Amino acid sequence: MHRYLAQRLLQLVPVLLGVSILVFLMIHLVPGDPAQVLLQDYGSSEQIAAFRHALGLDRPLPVQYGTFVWRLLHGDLGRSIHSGRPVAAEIAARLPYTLRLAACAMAVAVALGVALGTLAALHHRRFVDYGSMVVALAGISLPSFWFGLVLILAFSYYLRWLPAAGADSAASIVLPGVTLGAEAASIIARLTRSSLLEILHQEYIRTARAKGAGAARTIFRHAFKNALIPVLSIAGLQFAGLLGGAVIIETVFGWPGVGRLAIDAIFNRDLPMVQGVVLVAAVIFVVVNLMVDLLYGLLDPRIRYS
Amino acid sequence: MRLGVTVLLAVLAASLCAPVHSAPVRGGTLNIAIDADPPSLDPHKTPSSGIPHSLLYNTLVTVDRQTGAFIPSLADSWTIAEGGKVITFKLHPGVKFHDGTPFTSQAVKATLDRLTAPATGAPGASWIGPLDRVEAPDDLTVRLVFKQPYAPIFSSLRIPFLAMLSPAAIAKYGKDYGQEPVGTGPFKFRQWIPGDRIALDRNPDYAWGAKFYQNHGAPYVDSVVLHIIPDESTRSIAFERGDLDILPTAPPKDVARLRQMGRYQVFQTPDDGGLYLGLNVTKPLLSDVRVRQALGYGINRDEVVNYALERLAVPMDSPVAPTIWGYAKGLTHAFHYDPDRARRLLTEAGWKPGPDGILQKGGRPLAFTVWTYPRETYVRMAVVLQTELKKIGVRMSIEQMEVATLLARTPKGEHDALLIGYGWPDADILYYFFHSSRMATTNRVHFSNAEVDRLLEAGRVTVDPQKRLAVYRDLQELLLEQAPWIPLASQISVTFAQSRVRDLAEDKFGTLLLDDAYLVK
Amino acid sequence: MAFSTPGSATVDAPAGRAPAGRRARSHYAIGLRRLARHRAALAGAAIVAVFLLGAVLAPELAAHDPTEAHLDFALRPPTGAFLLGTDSYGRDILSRLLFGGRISLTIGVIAVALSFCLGVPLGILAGFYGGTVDHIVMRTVDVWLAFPGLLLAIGIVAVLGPGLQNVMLAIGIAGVPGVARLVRGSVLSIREESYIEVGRAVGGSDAHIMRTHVLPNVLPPVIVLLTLRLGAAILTGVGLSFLGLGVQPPAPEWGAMVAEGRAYLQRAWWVSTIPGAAIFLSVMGFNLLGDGLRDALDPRLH
Repeated sequence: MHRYLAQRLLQLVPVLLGVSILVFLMIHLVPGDPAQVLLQDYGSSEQIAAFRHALGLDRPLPVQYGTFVWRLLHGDLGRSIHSGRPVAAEIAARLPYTLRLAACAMAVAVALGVALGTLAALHHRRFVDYGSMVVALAGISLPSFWFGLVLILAFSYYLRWLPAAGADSAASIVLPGVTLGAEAASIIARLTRSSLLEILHQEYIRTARAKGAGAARTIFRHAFKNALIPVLSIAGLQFAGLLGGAVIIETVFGWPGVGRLAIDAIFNRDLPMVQGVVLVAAVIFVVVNLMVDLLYGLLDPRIRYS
Repeated sequence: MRLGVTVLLAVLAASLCAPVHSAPVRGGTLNIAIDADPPSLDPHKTPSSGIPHSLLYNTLVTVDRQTGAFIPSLADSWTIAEGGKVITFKLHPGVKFHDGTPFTSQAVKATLDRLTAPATGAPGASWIGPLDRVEAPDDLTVRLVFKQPYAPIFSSLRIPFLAMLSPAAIAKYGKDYGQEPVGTGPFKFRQWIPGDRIALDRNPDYAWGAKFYQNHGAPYVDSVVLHIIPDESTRSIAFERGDLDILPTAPPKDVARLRQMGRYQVFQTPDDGGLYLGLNVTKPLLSDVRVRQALGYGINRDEVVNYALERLAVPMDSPVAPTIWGYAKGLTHAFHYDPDRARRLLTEAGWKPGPDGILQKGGRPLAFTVWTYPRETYVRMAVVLQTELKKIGVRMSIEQMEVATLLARTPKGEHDALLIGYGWPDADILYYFFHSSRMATTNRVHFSNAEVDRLLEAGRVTVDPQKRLAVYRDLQELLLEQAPWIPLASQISVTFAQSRVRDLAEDKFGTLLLDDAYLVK
Repeated sequence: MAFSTPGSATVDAPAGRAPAGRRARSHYAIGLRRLARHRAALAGAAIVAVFLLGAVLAPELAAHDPTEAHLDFALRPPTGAFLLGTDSYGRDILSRLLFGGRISLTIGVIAVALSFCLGVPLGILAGFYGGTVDHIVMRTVDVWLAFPGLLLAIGIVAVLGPGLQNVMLAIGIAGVPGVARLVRGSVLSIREESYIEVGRAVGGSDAHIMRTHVLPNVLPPVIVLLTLRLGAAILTGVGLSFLGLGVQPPAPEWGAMVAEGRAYLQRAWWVSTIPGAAIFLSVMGFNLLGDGLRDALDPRLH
């Protein structure tokens, strides 16, 4: 078990290395220059050259990358070219918002998804089944920037129950959380339905049902536990995926998370900031997946780690 | 005239909303929406300055709220000598920075030295012009010595890029000045949560506001919170809900609706800039001046204003917007909508109708691509232009492009045309757009003309305002004739405020003036 | 969305465990018959068919030019002359919807096809050979997956520039790792099956075994994922349009239509709601079809 854990954590290294090289190459392939974006060209060409030199942007790419890795090994993510602030501090200030949002979204997604999926499976091929699947599908097929605005109009503008933007109060998280969770909810609902169906058709459940055990009890005692294993795995992947979805949601709701930070950094060609955000996202992705795998082992004794 | 209307509107709205003019009340928080984090609160580290900078800092001079004339701010008076090469300022006594240190000539020197030092990499450094050195003969006297006269200097001096910084704080915070900004302004820094808010507190020592304010002491409100809400629709809704007191630069599509409600104060200010179609004159198709002029006559600016800009703009008939110092009225080459003339010019240039209604010459269609930023206003304008130009047989395709990509690709001259905008209070801005020395950077139309260069240089060194206006008149005439730009429209910014906000004002350039503002229940 | 199994804890793929290649083919025949009886799947197929027909016949069906602005007719509600109303440029929404189907559905289909053309071989190679090949492929996939999907797509479009082709390419590339993972998992689950052993014993080349034995057996879950991903691909295109990185105006891509009309939601709800409904319905159609296919191809559900 410990060896497995160590091995998995060791795998983080090549993944992070790969991600950082990918980011590095991507930003350098994209036309655009952070010095130019910041100085907006009104400076003289000497001024821009001096600025680029100060940032080390005029050095060969491998040297720039080497410097980046060297600093990273010393725990230094550098400073944002655009804002001049330390990247680590900026991410540390904004990551908690995104994590909170993602956690809220995940709670919505799991609650809604498992409920809809169970409902559908229990009424397989009846109206409730189709109805709940259509509801679930809405989450994955409505553009979030549109769905989010509709929610704001409904609950914030007309009903005035919830704030429209910002992260001031506990209520602020509800609308962005629901919007962000909707997509994951639909995936979880569909998976819950199919894995429950699979299990409900298995011999031992049929036997239990035939023996007259109540449907509800059967489901909760036997089927649910097994059915939730794949759901858990998807939920884990989705949680990591939420960071990507947060890009748009955070813009719509004025939520001060890292999604917006990431996209602004890309548009500003702010390499250190893009590096920082993507690396953090990659770490979260890998760690969440590892946790999911470990939970898997706890839930399903058939899986052995070696 | 337009200014008169603006003021009248504001007064009218204010009087409608505030039937009883009561005495100012102390206290409360003003909640104001802004669309993005400023890159930095350090004026030397940001390419754009906005509301937070103008509240935190003061400049040496400012502009009169109504006339737009330069009036004292941190400098009480000034004299200009040696044909404009030396400007001596007498500073206002008793001014203190937020950190308690006094504002003196040494602070001016330290600020401007930092601004111009290459190591600072200040985006606003070029606006100070050919500054040679700053001298501080005594605590309240400061002298700016230029290598040659720099006529637009006062326009620059009132912009927050050239705001005054505390030398003690520069020494203490250095690079991190933007995280702990220290100015002399009516509000001081409390907190900045990136992506969420910037909170400022009233500066209790403030007693050096400009003359035109009623209140010559500290602001009435306790604090100002700037809420960062990037999405236009969300911003409007937050204001309508009453979560915000002030909605600066309201999204054009919401202005008519909000105005109709009749319960908000409205402030309308014409922008000191405009939107234009820039034509890359090195492209074979657009190198023919007749084709460029035809585009100018083929566009109905009223359609642009009415449909793309929600009527919140004025048609622009010169590269210089009407609100900018140096604008010349009634130029002979000013474009007006004349599709027949456009067609005649194109026929003269040898273009003949093709089978699909698009003009052709030698088998090549009269077609080009315009690059624009992915912003709603710009894209809407591009679509309207596309429709307009199709009527005279020109096909224009649209390509949205991020700011960084556009900035990087236009110096190489890959583009046919651009649809973008600019803003600056002085006609000297044209130097950046048309001088041949700016070819690789801001001269994105790759335009080069010896006479234009000469006039641009003359505009910089001609200190006498009347003579300078004449220079810019000739320049605008020439630029319209050569048509590297097709000027389109100058937008009008609209700010809304809740009726509970009293005595709020905007200056001629749309700067929010909060010194007199107070909140009632 | 990523329908894949996690890390190195090997878990069976969701479906598809038919034995040998030939039997797999007869299994498809049974599946097809089952599908024909599957009401939801039929409904899904019908929805997809309607949208496809609309897209194909757009020039015949559309009453107006989808890109021509009639500014005097801006924001007209749905009426006789404009069945679904007009947008803020006075363009007929129904005509744009029909022509837009060509763009949006093409984005979905081509992007997904690209993901699968790259993802399926990668997954099969990794699963079949295991060891170093597996290691290299899976670590590459990990890097790919760890990069937030939309950011990757944004990055690719930023490098290549916006436009239909690049959008498809970006979405396609961003979808590869999910497919590769799923396929690898499926291959692992059948690698030790007897028919693979038999194929080896009779001296079939690796390529032959992969083509004739492995591929047909991993296809069922792949087909399901394919229909599911179509919707996701269309939506990623929509997200790119929202950020101004998608198909260029005045092209009537559905996502761009929603993004454009969104600003007028309070003034003219139909401008963004109607293309939004089109996206919803088409994605739902593909998903219902995918569900039906999965049910039909999964022997355990009957």
